Amino acid sequence: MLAFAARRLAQIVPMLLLVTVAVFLAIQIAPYDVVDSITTPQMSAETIAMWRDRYGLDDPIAVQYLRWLGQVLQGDLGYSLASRHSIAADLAQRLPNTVLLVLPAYVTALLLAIGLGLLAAARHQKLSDRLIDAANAFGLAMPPFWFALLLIYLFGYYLNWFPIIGMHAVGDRGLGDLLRHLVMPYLVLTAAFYPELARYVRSSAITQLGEDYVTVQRAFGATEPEIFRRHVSRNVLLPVVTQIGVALPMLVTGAVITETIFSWPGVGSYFLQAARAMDYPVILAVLLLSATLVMLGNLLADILYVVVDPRVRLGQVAP
Amino acid sequence: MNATATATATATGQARPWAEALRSRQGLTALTVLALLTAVCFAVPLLPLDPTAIDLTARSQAPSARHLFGTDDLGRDYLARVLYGGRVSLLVGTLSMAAATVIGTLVGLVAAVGRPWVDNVLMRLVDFLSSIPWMILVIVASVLLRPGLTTIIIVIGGFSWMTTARLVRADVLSIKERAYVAYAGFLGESPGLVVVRHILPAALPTILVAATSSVSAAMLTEASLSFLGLGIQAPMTSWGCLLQTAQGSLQQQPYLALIPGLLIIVTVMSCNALGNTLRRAVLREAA
Amino acid sequence: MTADLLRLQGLTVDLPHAGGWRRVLDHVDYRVAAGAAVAVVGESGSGKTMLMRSCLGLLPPGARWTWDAAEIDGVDRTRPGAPRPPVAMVFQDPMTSLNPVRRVGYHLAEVIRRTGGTDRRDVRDLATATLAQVGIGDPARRYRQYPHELSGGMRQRVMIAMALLARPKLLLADEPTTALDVTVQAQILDLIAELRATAGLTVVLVTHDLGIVAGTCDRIAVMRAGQIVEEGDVDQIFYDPAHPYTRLLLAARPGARAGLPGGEVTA
Repeated sequence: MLAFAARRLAQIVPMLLLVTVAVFLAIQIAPYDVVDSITTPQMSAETIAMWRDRYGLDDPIAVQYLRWLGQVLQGDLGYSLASRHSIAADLAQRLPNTVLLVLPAYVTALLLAIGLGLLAAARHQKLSDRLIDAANAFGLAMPPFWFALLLIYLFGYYLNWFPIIGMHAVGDRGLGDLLRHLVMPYLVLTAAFYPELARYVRSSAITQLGEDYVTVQRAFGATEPEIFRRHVSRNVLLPVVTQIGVALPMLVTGAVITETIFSWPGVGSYFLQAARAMDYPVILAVLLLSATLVMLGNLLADILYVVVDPRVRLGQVAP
Repeated sequence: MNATATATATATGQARPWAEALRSRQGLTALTVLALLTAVCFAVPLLPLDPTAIDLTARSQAPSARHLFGTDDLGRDYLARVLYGGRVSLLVGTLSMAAATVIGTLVGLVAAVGRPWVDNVLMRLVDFLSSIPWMILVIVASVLLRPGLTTIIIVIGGFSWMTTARLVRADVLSIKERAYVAYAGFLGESPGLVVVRHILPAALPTILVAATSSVSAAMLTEASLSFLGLGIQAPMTSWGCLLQTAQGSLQQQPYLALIPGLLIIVTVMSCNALGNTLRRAVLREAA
Repeated sequence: MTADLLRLQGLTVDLPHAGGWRRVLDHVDYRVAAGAAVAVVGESGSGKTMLMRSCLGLLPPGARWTWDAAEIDGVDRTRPGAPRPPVAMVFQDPMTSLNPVRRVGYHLAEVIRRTGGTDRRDVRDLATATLAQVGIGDPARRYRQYPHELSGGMRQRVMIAMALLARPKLLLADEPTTALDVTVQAQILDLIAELRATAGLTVVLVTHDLGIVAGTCDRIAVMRAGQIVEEGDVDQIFYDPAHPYTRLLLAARPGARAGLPGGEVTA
């Protein structure tokens, strides 16, 4: 297991380097850069040239890349070109906010999906199944930000129950205030995560119910609740558990749009601002972070797969 | 069994999922809805509606006989804007799907029939592109290429072919093993001919199913990017753009947000329903 | 004549098919005497599996059925809420009959608990003893293993052990050897015959292979297109088949010479 994990980790490093090189090149090839986004027509050519020089944008690409890479290896993600803030500090401040939003929403969506997905499978073709399936289909087709707009209108303007932007009211650092700010983005994210998970649980439970071993269990007098509790749920949930690994990167980048709508001070809105401004050190830092999490998440998924599924041995997992 | 006979056999095999999907109520409804939406959106230039005519005397009006969906904050007729926006959304969905399907099919096909190292390189590329969260990838790409209609089609088409490629590769690998393909090879048909006459037609159902689901994915991505201001740019509009503008006047005119959102949902649900019926038909075919 | 353990009368089953219905059993009358070993033979799709499944109420979802009488061990199955009859079934494909993510022991323990055993150690002892009884070596280790760690023949033995633990009077074996190697087939058939003697079981063997029937069963029912077309003693069926379809089946056996009904019985 350890050797497997080590080998996989060793494969991640070149992949990450490749990601950063590709993004670096893409940013260099782009028709404009950060200086274009901060200059105004009033600035003189000399000022603009000075900015370029200051940011090292006139150095060869390789020099710029190696300079950036060297800093990253020392744990220094550099400074935002737009705000001159330390990126590491910004991320450290914003990451907990995103996790606070994404984690409860994902857990809720997962539990809801497991419960309703299994229920729908147990009632396959009956009214409750049709309702759940229709809701899933609707959810899959619904842009989360549209749902956010509806919530903002209903709870923010019409009922005036919850604040529509930010994380805290001015001067109020209390938990109650934080939770009131959390409600709407949390609901939006839950609605965004839920449908795909629920559809997966439902369809795999229906597949399991058609398996021979279920017929055998029925032949031996097992009741439907027994079959669900003792057999089907386990077979369905094992792959769901491995999905948790794949969901890992969402803790960072799972809420770009939601954070932006609600002005939630998380990594997603931070990244979007940076992307709009071509603030490449920030773009690179977030990309590096999320690509790392994707790869670690895949590794985690494979390890979980081996741990929870008795049929799989390490040798069978594609490296 | 000669080559012509097998080609005809596979040709009827591909027609059946479509026919079967059309016979099912779900498939037929979905297709009707899509056809109607497309017809209305693309027939809109024939109607006396101008999506850009600014009428400052009729700003932010509620729905009325004159303006069925009301007017926006510049007094533009919202029905006209919704229909013109639908044209762009449907166009982006279809063209991005076409691009993604062509790239995905080519990559999947070449990986499956090519030499092992080709397969390896292509699949590593797929892994590589899949290792960046999708939203992050398209945001960076849109910004780099400067937002706009062409950019959005390139970005969505260029970065959403990976699933299609994986599916096509897996399908072609199994088709390759089927007797008639081996037999055609044995008869001395050139590899290119075998791919075109035998493998591609047999993989068509898989490609079709992947294509339908990429239309929905493309439309949702377009809506998200446009909503963030990184997609379609004014004066052109799309359903996602309309939602972005509607956010500003949400308190006064919530229906401006309701309408384009519902249209997105109806369209995407229809595409998904069509894809599901096709997939079921294909699965039955295989069984 | 001994009492009937199984008595079905006028059993008709329709399955949904392409928007309509397809009749898979057509007014079937069938009875099995207590203690007998009988075979139901017929080609695939003749309705023999559906006949067995209707004894256990295991028809596919959406199936429609009617019967005039259905009695198993004196229990009237047509009455709603009838208690479970003492019937166990062994299925065709041992590779898929067991839940792949549950251990062998889990499957056995479940059956024991259902018949009233609760003490952990008792359950375990009984399960391993039964594994030994069906000819599984090192039962304590097998008890802890997962289905995929066992061979096909071994898994079918586990299925038979499960069936025994359900304490049935009637054992339905639906093509129990079709998915197995020829040498293993004979072992499983021998095991069923042996258990029939030691546990006092009545056995119904469903098969499409007349070759394996001769040594194992006393009576044969021949099914075709949802009906029993001929029923009789093994000797009568083999040496004096009345129905042309039976003759066809006999002629189709490997080793049988065409045109000579009732060729050498080699099984």
